[in-house]
Amino acid sequence: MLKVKKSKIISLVLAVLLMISALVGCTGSPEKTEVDNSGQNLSSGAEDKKAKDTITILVKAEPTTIDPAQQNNEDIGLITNFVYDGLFDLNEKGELVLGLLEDYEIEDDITVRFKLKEGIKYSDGTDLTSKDVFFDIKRLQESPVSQSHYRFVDLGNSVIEDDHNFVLKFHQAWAPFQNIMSTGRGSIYSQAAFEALGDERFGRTSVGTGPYKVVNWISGTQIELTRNEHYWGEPPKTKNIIIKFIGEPTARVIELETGAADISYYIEGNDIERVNSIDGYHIEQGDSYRYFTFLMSMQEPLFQDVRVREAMTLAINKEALVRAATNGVATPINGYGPPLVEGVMEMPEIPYDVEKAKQLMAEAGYPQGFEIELHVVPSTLFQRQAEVIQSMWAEIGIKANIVVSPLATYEAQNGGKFQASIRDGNASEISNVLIIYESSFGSRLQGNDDWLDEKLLELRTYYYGDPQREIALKEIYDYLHEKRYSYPFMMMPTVYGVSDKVEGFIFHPTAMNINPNNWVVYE
Amino acid sequence: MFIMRSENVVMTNQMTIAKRSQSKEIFIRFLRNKTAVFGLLIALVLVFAALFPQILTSYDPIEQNLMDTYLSPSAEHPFGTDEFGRDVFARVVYGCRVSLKIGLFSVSIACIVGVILGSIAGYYGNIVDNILMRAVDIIMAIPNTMLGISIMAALGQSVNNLIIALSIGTIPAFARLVRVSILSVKEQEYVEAAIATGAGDLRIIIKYILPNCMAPIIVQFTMGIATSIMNATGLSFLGLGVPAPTPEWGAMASSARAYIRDYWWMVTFPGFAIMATAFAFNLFGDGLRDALDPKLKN
Amino acid sequence: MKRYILGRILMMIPVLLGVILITFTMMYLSPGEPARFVLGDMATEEDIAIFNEENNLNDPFFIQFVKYVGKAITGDLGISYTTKQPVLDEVLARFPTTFKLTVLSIIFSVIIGVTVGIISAVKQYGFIDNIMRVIAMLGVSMPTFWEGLMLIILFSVVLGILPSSGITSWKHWILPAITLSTQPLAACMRMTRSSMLEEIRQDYVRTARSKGQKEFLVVMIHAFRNAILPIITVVGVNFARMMGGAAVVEIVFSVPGLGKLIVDAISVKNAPVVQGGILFVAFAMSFINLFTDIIYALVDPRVRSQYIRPRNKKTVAKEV
Repeated sequence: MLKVKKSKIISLVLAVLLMISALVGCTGSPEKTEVDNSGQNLSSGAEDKKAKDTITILVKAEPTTIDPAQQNNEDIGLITNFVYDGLFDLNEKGELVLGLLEDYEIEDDITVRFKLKEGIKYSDGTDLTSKDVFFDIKRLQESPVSQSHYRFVDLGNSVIEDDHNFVLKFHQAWAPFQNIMSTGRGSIYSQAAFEALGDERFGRTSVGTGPYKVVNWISGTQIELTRNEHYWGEPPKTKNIIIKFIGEPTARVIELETGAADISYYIEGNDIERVNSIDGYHIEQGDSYRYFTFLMSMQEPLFQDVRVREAMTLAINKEALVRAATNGVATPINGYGPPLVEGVMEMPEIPYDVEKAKQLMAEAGYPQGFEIELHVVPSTLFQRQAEVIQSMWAEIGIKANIVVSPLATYEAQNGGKFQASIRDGNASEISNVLIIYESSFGSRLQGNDDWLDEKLLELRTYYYGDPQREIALKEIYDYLHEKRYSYPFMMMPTVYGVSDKVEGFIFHPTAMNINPNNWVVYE
Repeated sequence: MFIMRSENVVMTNQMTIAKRSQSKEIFIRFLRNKTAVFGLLIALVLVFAALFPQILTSYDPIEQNLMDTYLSPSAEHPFGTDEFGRDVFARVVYGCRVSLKIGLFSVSIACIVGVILGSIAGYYGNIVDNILMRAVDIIMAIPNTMLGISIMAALGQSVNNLIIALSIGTIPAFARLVRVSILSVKEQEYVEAAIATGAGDLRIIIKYILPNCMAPIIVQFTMGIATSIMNATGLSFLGLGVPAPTPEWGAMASSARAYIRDYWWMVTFPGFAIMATAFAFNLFGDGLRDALDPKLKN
Repeated sequence: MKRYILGRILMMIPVLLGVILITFTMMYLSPGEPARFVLGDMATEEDIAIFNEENNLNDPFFIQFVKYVGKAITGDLGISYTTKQPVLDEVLARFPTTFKLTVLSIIFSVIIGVTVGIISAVKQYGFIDNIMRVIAMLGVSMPTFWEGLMLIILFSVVLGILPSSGITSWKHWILPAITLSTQPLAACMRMTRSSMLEEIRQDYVRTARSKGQKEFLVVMIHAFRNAILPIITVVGVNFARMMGGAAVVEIVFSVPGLGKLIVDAISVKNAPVVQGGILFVAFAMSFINLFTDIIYALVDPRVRSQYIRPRNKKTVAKEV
């Protein structure tokens, strides 16, 4: 009797466990959405080449939201690129082009007139009007993440003339406005939709004018997009897009190898050869806006003497650093930004001179060197750079302790002070590149240089083409070079892994502005 | 389940004789277990490597050699070189010191704290017991990994902080062990006799009660070293272990994992080192347990 | 029985409070301001101040703690700093995945572990026994992430038969489950073996054998039934432990589970998610432990008799 009871209990337990797992299995796995499986026959002279109706793209992380006003990193920008448009756009040559605008006119230093294209609709069928643009800008100015970018817009004095015409006033001349409006933050969405969805839900879906719209977001796994039926331009050639989040670089390559994905953003340097050797895949690689620099806090007592700062830069063997940290993929740079950004000038090369560095350190009063903290974000690339720099500084007596933290340049220890850090930047506009030297952005250099602050503000007032711009830039670069608070050392190219069966893929320096409309994948 | 029975403890003269022959017996039993001896030998090799790394390798584990990166294993570099041209064998050997230090210290701290807590809880019972055991429950309710990363995030990355983080998660095992022993022995006559003769609490605990749990403590200690080293590598994998450039096996394997297909030696050898160490200490601990507890043998 | 369960549940409360206190303290002590992590580097001092105000980050520690507990009791675990979604929703979305992974691993480890353990015990010191013990030892000694990577290389790259990331098909679960099951499998095997060994030596087994019962029946029915008790404990302990340990497996295999959520949140100091996530895991672990103890109590007649009054005076709990 007891015997039966015991085994009964055991089987009951097992049954419960199995039931639970079955239940969980029904709810826990992602649902396959109803994807239209009818392959289209594209009549581009291709005999019986059948096009797939879904392209699968791999990215490295799930975006926390796709609310344009909250955009503060690339992961978000990659997705907003598919579902939203901005007033301007950045094409694959890095040129600013019109996006949603029909035309614009700079009337004077602080006044710009805009004319929207007619007949643009959102993915829910409603019309795009000037009111939406104003609403979006207002939200940007209220969002802590974006307000610094749009603080120059004087909405109070700006005017909506009609549904497609409006005039914006700036607080001061603002040359970068076109570029800022071409970024993910500049995405235009419907006021009505935002108000209907509310703050929380708005960031998990999309009501935009882009070629695609969000149809399903499986937390942790992927976002599914489908063609926006109301798209104002030529409809995108492929109906559906699935964007999968895969954090491990090796795993992304494996997905390509198994043919489970068609395109992968973010391929590591050492995988480039491998992807090229996969049957049916190749690499698309080119210069990007991404550059790396190490920075020294302007408020750190140890760095007050410019000789120390000079020494720290002379101790770096740039070629070796770049090669070792990136397996030779990145290229060394000699300017204060990546060459692709307009306005970046080539500066005289800082030589690799350990002897001179030691001499300078001794002159400044630190013949034995000192100990500092070097902050980096938890990414293998940064950590590798940090280790090389650490080893090079050790030659001149500087003991650098590598501290890994997500926001490399800002730690709450010591009241928010930090010493040295390695940063990257990916702005495509020079003012945004040089923004790190401004005092109001303490998270970079903890700047306190009035001359720089004024000059950088002044730079923004010179529109492109104005000879004053060149002059101002030259002054700024010479000053930075002399002061030596930073040492930009390399530009990291953008690398995509693409299936050979994909047509219409055009390399773009930044995946945040790449044009997916012409992508077609064949069987 | 413990070595000494109460009879041994009462007769002091006979006790020393009994103890001696028992220790010898345990030793012999241990030696008979070939796998356990094997584990012990490996452990000794590792300790040797930790103490005298210079004998095993002439390379500096930290010095970078950017011209010799990613060299595959050869006579000159038996384990190849890493992304900075550092000799991997040297890093593995010096990493021994780091890992063993982490393992040993974290378990030692956990042991001392755990034994103290367990003794107090078991001996005094009632409210004290309740409170201490609830505290232990709390620690046990948080998965070791998450406890570890929370603590590392709070304290910052360093070898010492890692040791603290790892030790906290190991305390419950010791505390509960000791407490159970004490509870079972507390009621025995000889303890009552000792109390009656006016012996102080501490003396009673140390002289009469703790010796009974020596065996499980020793075994737990040994296995704990293996577990600690494994947990340390887990934390390193998550990026919260030992800071660069200190060679630590987990950090080495983890940072090289993107290269596993091209430069496999950077991941494989540190991984093997971890495995060998944990394996050795586990075997050793298992052998100890078998030797100390005769019931499970023939 | 009911009283026992009720008592245990009451005991969980101070424990869970303690868990909250610990995680809260850890997050509080971690360097770095959440505002910076969320708002990004482009944010100004003003923005930071606004964020801190909105999230009560300027209140003294104790007040923040009390407020948090107050809300947690009602099920409000706060809002994730990064995604602005309710933490409870995020946790609940990820929990089934981790749970499923854990259950699969447990089932696998129990089936294989117990079977091999029994064989090992019956054929003590035989070839199989020795091999299995060594393999179990190796299993326990292998770092999880390393094992995961090795399996990926073997099955995804070299053999190309199993996928390496995500959870889209049933095949995707195989490698993660195997990796996660290694440690509990070894533990299960060893516990089964030692437990069975202990039982096999008992008098009642000798009695059964001498009565002429077939060896298989002797082993399975008599010895195993009693050996199962410590095995249940081991399974319970490991089940609970795996819920936390799954983090590494989830990261290596890109499985969107709770462990990964928590680890990612810790690295950006997304305190609400960390606190809520760990609390949830502790909650689940406590329940699993309770569940295990109940099963144990039901199955072990010695314990059972303490808690369950026999319905029929004639039926008295007895072994065998």
